[in-house]
Amino acid sequence: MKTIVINASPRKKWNTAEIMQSAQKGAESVGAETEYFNLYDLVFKGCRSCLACKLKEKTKGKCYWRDDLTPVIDKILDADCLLIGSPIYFGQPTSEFRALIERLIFCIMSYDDGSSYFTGKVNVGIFYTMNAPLEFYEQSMKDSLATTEYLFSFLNGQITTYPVCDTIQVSDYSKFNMAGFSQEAKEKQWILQFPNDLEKAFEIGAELSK
Amino acid sequence: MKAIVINAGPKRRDYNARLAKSALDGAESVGAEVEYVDLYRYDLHGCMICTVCKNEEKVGKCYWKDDLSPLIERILNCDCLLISVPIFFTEPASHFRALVERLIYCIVSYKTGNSFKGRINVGLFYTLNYSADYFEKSVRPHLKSSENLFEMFNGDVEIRSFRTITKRESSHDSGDLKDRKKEFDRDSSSVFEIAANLCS
Repeated sequence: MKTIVINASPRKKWNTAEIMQSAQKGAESVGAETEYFNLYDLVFKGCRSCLACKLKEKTKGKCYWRDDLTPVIDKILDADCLLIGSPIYFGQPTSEFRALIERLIFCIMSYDDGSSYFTGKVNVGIFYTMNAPLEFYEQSMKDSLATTEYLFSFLNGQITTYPVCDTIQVSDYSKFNMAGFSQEAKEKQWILQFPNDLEKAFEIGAELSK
Repeated sequence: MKAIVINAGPKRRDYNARLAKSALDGAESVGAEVEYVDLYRYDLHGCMICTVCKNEEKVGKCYWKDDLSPLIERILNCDCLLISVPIFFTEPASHFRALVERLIYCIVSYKTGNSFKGRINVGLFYTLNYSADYFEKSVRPHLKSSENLFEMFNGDVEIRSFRTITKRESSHDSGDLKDRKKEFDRDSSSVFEIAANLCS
């Protein structure tokens, strides 16, 4: 079992990273071989519509644009499980999470009939971390984010989405113009709820890497 | 009147870029001073959450040092922003999203909400390679919250979607093709007019 873990947040040491490290430990707990990437360390762009992946002469299911992301796409398509986490900015995953999806999914999407070229199976665990509370996620975001799950269904595996809500954004709110948030309420959530989220990430990482 | 026209697609001469050029022509036709930008020439990141813009007195400017910050500053000082962007699957291209993250987050004040006091008219043109009807009915409602972000510029916001014509279609001289050429002319003049109106 091979599991690729991707932190699609610009921050390498905050909520999303902690969640992904926990998911990685979960995968390792069931014996998976794991590799961890900070997506924002890679120099790449989203799909350039070069359409090389649609040429008849080319092997199907491969991204031909060469940059830092290409080997990661190869590794994902060669793995059994992908665990990916992104913070939510203005109701959406980060632009670089999106750039990865454009490249990863477009190269396995058939323009003959809209099916998937991909014959393997990769389970996908998606973790969204956000400032918004769970109720808001359920009511206003979940539906729009379902299209992302649809795109990951091209990898033919099981898909689990887990929202990590009401996260603490900075360690000291008094330093920022962020009066709209209460340090106390955020810390409470961080102490009472966030450990459950880490535990859940561990379980999902383990379950999808079995 | 200053206008900034952004081709937010990866290609510099495709349908999306041609519509951006129509926007440029429309803006210039009413005397606007226009800057044209191919966004994919920029090596940029989306918002890095450095949160400098959330410190006292710093709201309203992006402090991340790369090519994009000066462009953000020019946008915040212009009168009209015109963007054409391809839809990949069901979302605008990722580079557009990166620009939006940076451009909007830096004017968000957690104290007062919107810190932007100026006025910028916005024209946003989506280009897509499937039915525009389907897009309008089933896809675009999900983009509403992103579209609403442009209201923070306190100006008029015009958003339209256009189905693209591919090179292959334009190289075949069929009746269908003539229709598609007419469609392009129609789309192009529609963008031209919107741009001219937003810059008037």
